[in-house]
Amino acid sequence: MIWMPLLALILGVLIAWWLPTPSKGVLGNYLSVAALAGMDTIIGGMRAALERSFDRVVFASGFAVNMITAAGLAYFGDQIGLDLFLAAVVVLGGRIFVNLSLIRRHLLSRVETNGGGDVSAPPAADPAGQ
Amino acid sequence: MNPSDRKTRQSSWLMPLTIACALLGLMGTWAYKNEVVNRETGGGRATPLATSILKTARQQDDEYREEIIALRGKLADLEQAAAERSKLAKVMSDEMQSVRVFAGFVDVEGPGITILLRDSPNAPTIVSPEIAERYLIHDIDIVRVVNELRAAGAEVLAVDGHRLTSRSFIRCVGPVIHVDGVPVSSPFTIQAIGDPETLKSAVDLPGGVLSGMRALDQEMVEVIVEEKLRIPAYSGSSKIQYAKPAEPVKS
Repeated sequence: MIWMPLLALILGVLIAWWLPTPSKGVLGNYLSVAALAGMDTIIGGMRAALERSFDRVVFASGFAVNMITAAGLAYFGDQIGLDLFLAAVVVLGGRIFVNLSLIRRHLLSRVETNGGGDVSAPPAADPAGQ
Repeated sequence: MNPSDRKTRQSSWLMPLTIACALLGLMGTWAYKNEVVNRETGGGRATPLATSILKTARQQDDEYREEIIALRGKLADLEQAAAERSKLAKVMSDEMQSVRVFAGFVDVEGPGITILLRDSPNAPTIVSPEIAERYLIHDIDIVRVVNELRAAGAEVLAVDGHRLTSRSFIRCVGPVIHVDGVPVSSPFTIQAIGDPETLKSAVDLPGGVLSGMRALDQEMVEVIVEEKLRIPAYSGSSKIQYAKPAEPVKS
C-alpha cells in the first residue's frame, strides 16, 4: 500500500505533462512556491503517519492553507518589491529536511526492531521515535 | 492493537496522502513547464506581460520603418518626375540628392572598411566581474571606433546595418547596445565608406581605439578592407520639432 502515493505522484506528473499548462499568466509564477508548500505538507503527513498522529483534517487543511499562504506571500512580496517568497522557501525547505530526518530515524529504528525485515510492513509495536 | 484497528489507521492516512501526492505531481509539473516557458521567452517572475508588450512594440517599430522607407522612395520618385519636366527642377533634384546622401536618406555605395567587434569567446570563466567586463564590447568601444573613423574622413557610417546620421546615438541599455534606439548585439559590424587605406591605418594606429581589445584577445577585432560597400538608408524618424531655420544675420 505504501506505493500508492508514489503511483499517484507519477500519475499527476503524467497528467500535467499531457495537459496544456493552464496558467501562463502571472499566477503560474506562484505555482512553484505552492508546490513546495504541498511537498512540505506531504512529508509532514508521512512523518505524522509514522508517529501515528496523522489526522486527515489537519492534513487536508494544512495542505490547502500552506499552499495558499506560500503563494499569497510570494504574490504580496512581488507587490511591495520584497522577495518574500524566500521566507516561504527557507521555512518550508528547512522543515522538509527536519521531517525527512525524523522519518529516516523512524524507519531506521523500525529496521532495528524488525531485525532488518520489511520496512514497508505495517509497524509492529510503536517504536517510540527518538 | 488488533489487525482491523491497524487497517483503519493505515487507510486513514493513505488516501489523503495519495490525493495530495497526485496534486503535488500535477502542480510541480505545471510549475516546471511554466518555468521552461519563462526561460525561453526571457521572462521571469511577473514579466510575461512586459515581454508581450515589448514584442508588439518592436513589431510596430519595424512596420513604421518600412513605411518611412516607402514614403521617402515615393517622394524621390515624385521629384524625379518633376525634374523631367523642367530644367530648374532638375538642378534642384540633383542638389536634393547630395543633401540626401549627407542626411542619410538614400542607400549609398563606395569603397571603405568593415570592422567587426565581438565579445571575446576566450574570456576566463572564473574571474571577478570587473575583469569579465573587459572581455565584452561596450557602447563606448563602438563610439570611439565611429569617432575615429569620422576623424579619418569616413563619409558614411553604419553600425549593424543602421545608418548613422548627425543625430545618431550609441548607448548601452542594460545588457544590450542601442543604436538610435534599435537594439544590436555582438558581433557588431561597423561599416565606413571612405578611403580604405586611410580608414584602416587610422583604426590600426598603435595605442589607438582597437589596441586595447586586441591586446586582450585578437579575436575580438577584425578589420576588412572593402572595394565596394553598400550602406542602407537611415530608416528612423527625421522629425525636427524645436529647431527652425534662423533669419540671416545682417552684418
